[in-house]
Amino acid sequence: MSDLQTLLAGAVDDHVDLDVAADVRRGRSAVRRRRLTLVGGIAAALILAGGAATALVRPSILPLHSADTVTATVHAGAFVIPPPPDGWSVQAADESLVVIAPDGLPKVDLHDPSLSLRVAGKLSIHLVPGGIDSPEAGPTIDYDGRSFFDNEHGGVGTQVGVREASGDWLVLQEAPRLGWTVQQMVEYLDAVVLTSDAVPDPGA
Amino acid sequence: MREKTRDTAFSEYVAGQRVRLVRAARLLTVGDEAEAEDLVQATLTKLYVNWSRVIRADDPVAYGYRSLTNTFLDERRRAHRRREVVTDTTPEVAHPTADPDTRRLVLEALEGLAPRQRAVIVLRHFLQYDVAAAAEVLGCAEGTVKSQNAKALAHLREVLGASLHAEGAL
Repeated sequence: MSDLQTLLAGAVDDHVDLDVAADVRRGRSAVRRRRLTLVGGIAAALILAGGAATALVRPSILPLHSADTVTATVHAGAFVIPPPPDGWSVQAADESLVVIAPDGLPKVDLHDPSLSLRVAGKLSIHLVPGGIDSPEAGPTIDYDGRSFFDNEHGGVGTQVGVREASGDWLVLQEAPRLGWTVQQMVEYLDAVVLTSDAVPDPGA
Repeated sequence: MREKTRDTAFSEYVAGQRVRLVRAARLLTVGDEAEAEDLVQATLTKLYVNWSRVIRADDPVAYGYRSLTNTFLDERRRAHRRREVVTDTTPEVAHPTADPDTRRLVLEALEGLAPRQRAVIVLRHFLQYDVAAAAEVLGCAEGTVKSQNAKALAHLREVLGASLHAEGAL
C-alpha cells in the first residue's frame, strides 16, 4: 500500500451498509421500466403507422372515477391526482409523468436520460403510448368498470395500468416502502384524471 | 438469462464488491455520503440491467469500476447534480479511519481536482490500477492518464504538503 493510498483509504469510512436485496430490487425495477418503455415505443410506432397519431397529442379529457371516494385532488402537471400519501408530495410533474416522493427531496429533472434511476422507489404515474393489448403480461383486475393490468402482483416494483379512452396506457409504479396492495394501487390509479394537456411520453 | 440466475449472480457480485465501490465513490464525491450512495446505486442498477455484458467482460470487477467512473463523470458533466434516489435505509454517518484534520485536508485536496483527475487518482492510487487499466476505464490514451496523474499529484503535494511530509507520503 502506498502512502497516498493510506491517506485516501483513511479519508473515507470503511463501514458500508450492505442491502443486497435492495440493489436487486432496484435492478429489477429498472429492467421492468425499460421493458415498458420498449413496449411503449413499439406501440407508438404502431399507432403512427396506423394513422392514429392524433391519439398521441390529443388525449381525451376523462371523467373522474371513484369521485365519491376521493375527498380532495391535486393538480400535478397534466394530471389531477388523489392526494399523495401522508408525508409524501409531488416531486415533479409534466404532461406525461408525475413523480411522488417523500417530503423534502429535491426536484428531479424529468428530462434526465437516467430518469428511471431517479424514479426508482418512488410512486410514479406515467402516460405511455398505447396500441397493444397490454404493456406486460399479467393478471387483470376489474375495478370501477375498467380492466387494470398487474405486471407483477405481489412482487416489489409492481406496476398497474389501465388503457385510457385515447388508447394510451396510464401506468402507476409502486413505491415499495408504502407497502400498498395491488388493490390500493388500482384504486389510486382509477382516481387519476388526465387533463387536455396530457401527452403520452414521447420517449416511451 | 433467467431472472433468478441473474439475481443470484448479481447478488454475489454486490456482496463482494459493494463496499469497495462505495469507498471509491466516496472519494470521487469528496466524502459526500449521500451522493456516493446515489452513484453506487445508479452504477449497480446499470450493471443489473446489462448483466449479460458484465459476465461476458474479461474482468467483471473492472467493468463495475468502469461503470462507476463513467457514471460519476457523466453526472459531473450535467448542469445539475441530483442525489434523490430513495433508499430503504439512511446511509450511515462517516467514520473515517484517519484523524479529522488529515481527512479534511485529503478531501479538500481531492475537491480541488477536476473530476477526471480525481478519477485518475482514485483508479491509480486507491484501486491500484496500472496506467493501462486506468486508461481503459477512462477510455483515453495511457499518456493522458500519465499527464493527468502528474498534474493531480502536483496539486495534492501543494495542498497536502505538511501532512504528506508528516506521513512520508508520495
